[in-house]
Amino acid sequence: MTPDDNIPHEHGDNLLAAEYVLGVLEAPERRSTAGRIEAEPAFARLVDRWEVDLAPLSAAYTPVEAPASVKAGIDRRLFSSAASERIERGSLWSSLAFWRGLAAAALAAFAVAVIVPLVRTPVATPDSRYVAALSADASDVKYVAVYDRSEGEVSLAHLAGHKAADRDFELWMIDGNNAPVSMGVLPAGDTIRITLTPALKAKLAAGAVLAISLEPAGGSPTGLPTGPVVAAGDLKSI
Amino acid sequence: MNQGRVDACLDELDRDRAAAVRGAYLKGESYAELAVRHGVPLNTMRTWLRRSLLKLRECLER
Repeated sequence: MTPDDNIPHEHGDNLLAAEYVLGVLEAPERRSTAGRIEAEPAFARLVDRWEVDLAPLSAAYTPVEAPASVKAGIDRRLFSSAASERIERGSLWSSLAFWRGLAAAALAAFAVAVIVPLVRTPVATPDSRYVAALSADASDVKYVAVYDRSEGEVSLAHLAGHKAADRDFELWMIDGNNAPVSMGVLPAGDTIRITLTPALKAKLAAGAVLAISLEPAGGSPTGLPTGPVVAAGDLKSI
Repeated sequence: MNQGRVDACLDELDRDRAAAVRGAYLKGESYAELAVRHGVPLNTMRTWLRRSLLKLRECLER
């Protein structure tokens, strides 16, 4: 914060929370702010409120902007000490740090439980298996995706979160700056297998982003995501 | 969800200021990057964005 902007001091924390959520702070200030989120529940609530209020913006991204926003969000969650579970407003119980830690551990345990059986079968060629953990701020939807290139098949395990009855989850592949490509509407169920078309198989590789958006029943009517991205993650080679 | 609410509130801001808020959120642009893109000094950018955020909060509370 600098005192140059004639903004009343009582807005300081609220603005700092907004700047943190927007991601405009430089690293040192970002770290000190992350520390305050852990230590000060009142400040954490300010951050929480901004995250909830700004989350709909990510539904309005253009295809070119989507990978950056998704990646920033994922990086924040995975690599920041302030990685925060933003499940919904009012979900702050007694200790944020405890619940966040528990949620992260649970996701990791689920991922291991799901991935290990899927990948333990013999691998024909190196670089033929990929994994992505799909989640997003302001959403409790979580999936783990495993892509077996030699089989041309994506397996998804549903870990958490549900859609409204009259909506569908649709899976998208986002490769670099290209427009998202639909991989189809996700059927209900804890385990989902999707066989890729040759065209999709040719495009899907490490570094691509898998994203799940909330769409009208039957999938996006436009061929591009129309609803909010409820979960996304980078595809990593394993 | 308050889908559309934040968009409506951003529409009450000047267009370039709303663009700065969206750019920061969606592209992860820092103050320095935003300042370069909008061609203003860093402190000006910071003031812009903070004022925009206060207006945005005020609108969201209405």
